[in-house]
Amino acid sequence: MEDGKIVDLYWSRDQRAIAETGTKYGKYCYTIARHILSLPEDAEESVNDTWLAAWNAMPPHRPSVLSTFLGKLTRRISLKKWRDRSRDKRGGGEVALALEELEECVAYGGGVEEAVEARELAAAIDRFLETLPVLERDVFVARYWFLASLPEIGEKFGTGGSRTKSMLFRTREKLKKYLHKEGLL
Amino acid sequence: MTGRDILEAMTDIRGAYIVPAQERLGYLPAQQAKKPRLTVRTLRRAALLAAVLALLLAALLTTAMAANEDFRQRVFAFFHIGQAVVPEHSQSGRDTPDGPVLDPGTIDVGGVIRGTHIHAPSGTARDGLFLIWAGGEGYRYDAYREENGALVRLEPRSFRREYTVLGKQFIVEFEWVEHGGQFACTYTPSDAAYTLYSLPGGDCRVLVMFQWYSEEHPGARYPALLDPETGELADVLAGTGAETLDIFLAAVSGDRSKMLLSTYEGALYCVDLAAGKLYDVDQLSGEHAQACSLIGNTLSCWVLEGDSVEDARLGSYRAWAIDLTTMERREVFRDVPATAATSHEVWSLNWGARDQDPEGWAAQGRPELGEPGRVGLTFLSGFSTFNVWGNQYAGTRYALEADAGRNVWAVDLTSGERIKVEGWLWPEADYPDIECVPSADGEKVLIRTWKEGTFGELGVLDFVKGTYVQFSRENLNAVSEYDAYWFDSDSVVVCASGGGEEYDYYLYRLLD
Repeated sequence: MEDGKIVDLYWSRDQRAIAETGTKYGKYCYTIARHILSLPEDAEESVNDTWLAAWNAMPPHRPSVLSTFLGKLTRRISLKKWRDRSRDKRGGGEVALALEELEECVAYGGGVEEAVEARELAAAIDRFLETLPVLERDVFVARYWFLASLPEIGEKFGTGGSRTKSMLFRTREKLKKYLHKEGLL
Repeated sequence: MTGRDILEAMTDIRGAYIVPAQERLGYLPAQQAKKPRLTVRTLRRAALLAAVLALLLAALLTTAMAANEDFRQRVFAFFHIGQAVVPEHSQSGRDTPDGPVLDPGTIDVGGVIRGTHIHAPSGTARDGLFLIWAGGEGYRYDAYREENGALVRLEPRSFRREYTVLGKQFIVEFEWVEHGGQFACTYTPSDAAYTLYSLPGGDCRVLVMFQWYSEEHPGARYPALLDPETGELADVLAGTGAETLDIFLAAVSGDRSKMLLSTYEGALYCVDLAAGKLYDVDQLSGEHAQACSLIGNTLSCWVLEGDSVEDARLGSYRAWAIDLTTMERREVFRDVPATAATSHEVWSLNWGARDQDPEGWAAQGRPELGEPGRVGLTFLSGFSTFNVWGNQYAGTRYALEADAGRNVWAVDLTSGERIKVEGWLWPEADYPDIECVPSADGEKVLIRTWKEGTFGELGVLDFVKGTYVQFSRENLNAVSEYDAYWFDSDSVVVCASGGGEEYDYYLYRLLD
């Protein structure tokens, strides 16, 4: 079913919306969740929570691109679940590794740790991504949005393991500089 | 702020950045997944191809070579080493300047290289310019160029026009400067639905890649050529049928006569811009081409056939060429083996183990340079694989090939001829760590290896002069290098940071 018709189902409060969403985007959302959560059942729970969140959001929301709308819901829900699981030692997946890498971006000697509004930070990351060459941007998003593993990125992007790793390192260096320049570090 | 803040904020980045990565990863909605696409194996091969050859001359150069025997001879006689010592690195320790400043230590070294140190606030260096963040909405820079030992700020020009492309309205707005006949963008709005790519040589025309969303084409793109002086937008694909393609990459040849397209599905197309014709590379070939390279009026195509990870051989390359005037096909080479030594696939299987147990990995998992003689093409690239800072490359004429003894050959992709590279051995580093970056004019290639914060191997292979200039640098540990690429057709810039807010650029200009 076309995305527009699926959204129409949500707007008309037709419960087939969830079935159609699951058919079309179930695997996609599960992949996102599974990269964040180490347990399959946790990932499935996140996907189900995504359908509920979508049901609650539409209406009034009418997403222009359903895939990214659902993907963002799944990512947000899965990260929250990951935080909860981390407290009782059930966290894992690629998140821990990605976090470790991203900590390099905020390690600025002598800096004062300040809370930054998520929206402001997302806008800054948007502006930063615009400055990157296409391949570098796509690899960065694959790693830190989709939480794809380095070997997978190396294979899918043809960049190999080592090149992927060095490319990401350099991009993080640039991000660190950029965030500092933006006054966010 | 913490790394977690960044990770969570990433959720809300623009969808325009998510979709391309999603496509590349193959995370597709069910209906899209049913469409014919590259298989994982094909993708892997394409990735291997991308990881495995080196590049080199762009269309303009190769046309000249074909026409001029002397020129060709000079190229093939090439490859003696000109080695130069360049200034040692140092942390500036200065306060962040308001604009870029030249270090007084700028020196010429043996008439081969001029090394220059530029200390600058946040920004970037590309297209022969230093672009310094100017703040405000969007992506705005102040542009500086080096002129007679001083840095001169360039006044930007504004551009704003509305266009209708494939029935969709686009407001194209940017600021730009002209520098040596080249276009350089200094500002685009944050919500721009297009990307601008400067083109090597010729004039200031720029490749505009329009992008939009639709259900059928979630990451739709469509290229056009824009003259920022007149505002004329050339819909170079009009009537070719390309508007029905999910275009992923586009590259314009150096003489602006042809364009290469790649789709998300991995199909390759060649566009004759003058004739307004679109050629399906597979149809021209009579078989599926995994990659292609545009060399003057010749299209060189290749496939990797047969593979087996188990025996550390990943098949062999077969290449053919098509004369775009006569449409005649000729075979170029076959049975050039791709072994584990050049395979990113095997490396991918092993690299994780390398990090966990470097010694064990070296002893057990490291793919060795196998049989003597030819071991495979190094960095075989179609086009745009080496897209650096928006410069487009229309293809390469030569592959670089290395053997177990690290001897190197240039392999002509139009004839299959192999030319020994005398006096230079392939860098003694792991293959995936070696990267080859062509200059915008395609006449040279930057060979770089990056490890633990520095570019240990850095040198330039010049196919016209027949030289390899190796940069012997000192005191590399003083700074953390994070990028090295072509600043312009004659200069390489190494970007470094010393931990503060400023950037340090080490500019290595190759002298005549």
